[in-house]
Amino acid sequence: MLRPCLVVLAVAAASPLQATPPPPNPQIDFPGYAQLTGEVRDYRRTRLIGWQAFLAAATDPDVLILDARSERQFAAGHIAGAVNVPLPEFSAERLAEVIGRTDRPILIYCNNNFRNNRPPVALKSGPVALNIPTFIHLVAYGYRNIRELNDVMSIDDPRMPWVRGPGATAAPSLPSAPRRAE
Amino acid sequence: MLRSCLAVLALAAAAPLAAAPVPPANPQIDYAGFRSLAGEVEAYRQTRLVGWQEFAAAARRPRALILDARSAEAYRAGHIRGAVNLPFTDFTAESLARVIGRADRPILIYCNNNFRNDRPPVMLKSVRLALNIQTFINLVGYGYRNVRELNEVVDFDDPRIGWVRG
Repeated sequence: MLRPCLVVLAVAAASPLQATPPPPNPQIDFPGYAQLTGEVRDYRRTRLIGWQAFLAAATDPDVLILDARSERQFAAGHIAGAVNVPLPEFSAERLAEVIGRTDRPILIYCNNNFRNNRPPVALKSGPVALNIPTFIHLVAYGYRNIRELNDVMSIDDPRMPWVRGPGATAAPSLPSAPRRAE
Repeated sequence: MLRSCLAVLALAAAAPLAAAPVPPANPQIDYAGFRSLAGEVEAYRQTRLVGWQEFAAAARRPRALILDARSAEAYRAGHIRGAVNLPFTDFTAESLARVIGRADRPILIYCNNNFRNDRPPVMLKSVRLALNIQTFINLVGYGYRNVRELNEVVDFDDPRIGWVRG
């Protein structure tokens, strides 16, 4: 009994001296995120689809094509029917507003689904492609019915329903957002 | 000999069917590479967390860059004085080189989850999904390692913060 007490006292006494590492920001959990990337890995692998399947799924009026690129890129060009919520804007409230039900089928794509490598789909480095955090964030916010485009396409391909700006503007985040099934 | 040839033919015929359930990965997206990068950054980041005093002192040095990776809309509505906005979603090798310049430039980052206000434009995100995590991983992934992250939770109404309202 005495020995554990002494150990506790020793630890308590030593801790104020341990200046590094600083106490973590209680509002940021990096280890939790790293763990999440592992949890999502295998699931994502089963949710990758080619262009034909993506296009076929998009004809379902309940399906939401979610584009998580920036507003500016979205305005300059996007897949027809897609709705824009930039990744930094993801929050439980915003996603609920745009997506609705957590079982709603969601299709995602990003810059790295295109080989053009010019704005608005300038290529990102492979390990930091936007689809990766988009997929992880959607799962973490409770959306499980996600499919990710797995092909590399061209925005110049006549079969690609690519909407070009400046006529294209960011979709409103209101319930009137296009493609919302109700 | 014949039998082994037949076996090879049978394997070749079966291969496309067996491979069908797992599509070949998009060569432009590297999930395994992302996980390994995140693992590397998790340990490195621990040594790069700074409190507000140190953040503010570092920001006053001439070469320092305060990088705000929130959306353009959120940045316009409010940001720390002197911060430059490059939305996280617009990070590419080219855009970062244009905004940052030299790879060894001291970069200071902060995000919504450095504020206790939890109102626009710094609505609190889920703790595992804080933007600083993504920003830090991306900067290191693109070769910018001289990053320091604000580790304190502050109030944007606190005059020390120098919050610029849109």
